[in-house]
Amino acid sequence: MMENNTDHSEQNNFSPLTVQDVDVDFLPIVYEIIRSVERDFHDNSAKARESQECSQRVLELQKKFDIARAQIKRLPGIDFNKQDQLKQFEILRTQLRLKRELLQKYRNMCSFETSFK
Amino acid sequence: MASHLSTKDRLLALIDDIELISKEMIEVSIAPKPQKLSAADHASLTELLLSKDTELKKTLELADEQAKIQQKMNDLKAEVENKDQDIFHLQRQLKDAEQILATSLYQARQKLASIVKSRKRPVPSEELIKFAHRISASNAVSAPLSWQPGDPRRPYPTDLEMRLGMLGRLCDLPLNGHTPSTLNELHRMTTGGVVPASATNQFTWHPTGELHMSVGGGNSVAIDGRGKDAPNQEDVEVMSTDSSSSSSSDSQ
Repeated sequence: MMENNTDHSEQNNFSPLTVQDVDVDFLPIVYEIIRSVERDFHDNSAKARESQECSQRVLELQKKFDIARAQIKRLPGIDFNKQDQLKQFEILRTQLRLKRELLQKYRNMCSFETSFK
Repeated sequence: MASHLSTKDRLLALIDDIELISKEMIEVSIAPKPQKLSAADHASLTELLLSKDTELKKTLELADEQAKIQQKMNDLKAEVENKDQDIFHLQRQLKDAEQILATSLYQARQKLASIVKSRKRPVPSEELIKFAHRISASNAVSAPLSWQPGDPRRPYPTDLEMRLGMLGRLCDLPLNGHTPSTLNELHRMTTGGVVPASATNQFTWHPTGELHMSVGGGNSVAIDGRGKDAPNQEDVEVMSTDSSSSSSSDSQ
C-alpha cells in the first residue's frame, strides 16, 4: 500500500506545492485511534464495529503519513538548510551585481577620445 | 537536530519519528494489560509525540520561508540570465567593432606609409605633365586625330615591329637551334637586333636615360625621348586632351 501511494505521488511530482497544502494533522487521528481502543463496549457487535473503524483509522493514518511524505518532496526550496540557501542567495546577488557592473563598464567604455576634429 | 541536514530531510525524519511514536502508542494501547506501559512512560511518549509535532510545524514554517527565498532566487536567476544575454550581445558587438577598427587602422597605416614614401621622393607636377606629353607625342596612347590608313603613327605596334619584338624573336629561336637559358640572354638577343627606321618614331626604353621617373614599387625607369620627331610636336596638345580611343577608326 505504501509503495502504491508513493508511486501515485511520484506522477505529479513536478508541480510545486506550498506549505499550506501539506497535511500534517496526525495527532487527531492518533487520538481517535487510542480512544476507540481504550473504550469499553458492552455488546460484541458494537465492539466489532469499533474495531473495524479503528483499523480503518490506522490505515487512514498510514495513508496520511505517506501523502505527507510525498507532499514534502514536492515543496520548493528545501533541498538545502536555510544557511546554505542564504549563502546561495548571496552568491546569486553578488553574481547579478558583478554582471550589472560589467554591463555598465561596457556601456561607458564606448566614449572614444576624438582628439582630431 | 543536526543543522547540516537539508530542511526536506529534517521534515521527512520528523514524519518518520511521529509515525514511529504513534505506532508505538497504538501498539501499547492494544497490548494486553501486563505489557502496558506505566502512566509516566505513556505520558513521556505523548510528550515526545507532541514535541515532535510542534517541531514539525516549526520546520514547516521554515520551509515556507525557504520557499519564499527560493522564489526570490528564481527571480534573481532569471535576471542573471537576462544580464548574461545582454553581456553576450554587447561582447559580440564590441568584437565586431574591434574587427572594423583593426581593419581601418591597418588601412590607415598603409596610407600613412605611402604618404611618408611619397613625401620622401616627391614628383613635381611639371615633370608628370612633361612625361604625359612625351607619351602622347609618340602616339603610345592614341593615334593622332588626323590619322589616315597607312599612317605609321598609332598606339600599337605594326606587324614589322611585332616581328622584331621579343615575342616575334621567340618564334625564331628554335630555328636557330639556340635556346636562351636566362632572361638576360633573351633580353640581350632581342634588344641587340637592328632597330628599324620606323621604330625611331616609337617611344624607346633604355637602362640609362635622360629622365628617371618613379613608378609604383619604387622602380626607376629610364625614359628616352630622343625618338621624338619635330613634326609630332604639333600633335602633343591634341593628344594630351584626347581621351577617346582611336582604335575603332583603324581599318587596316
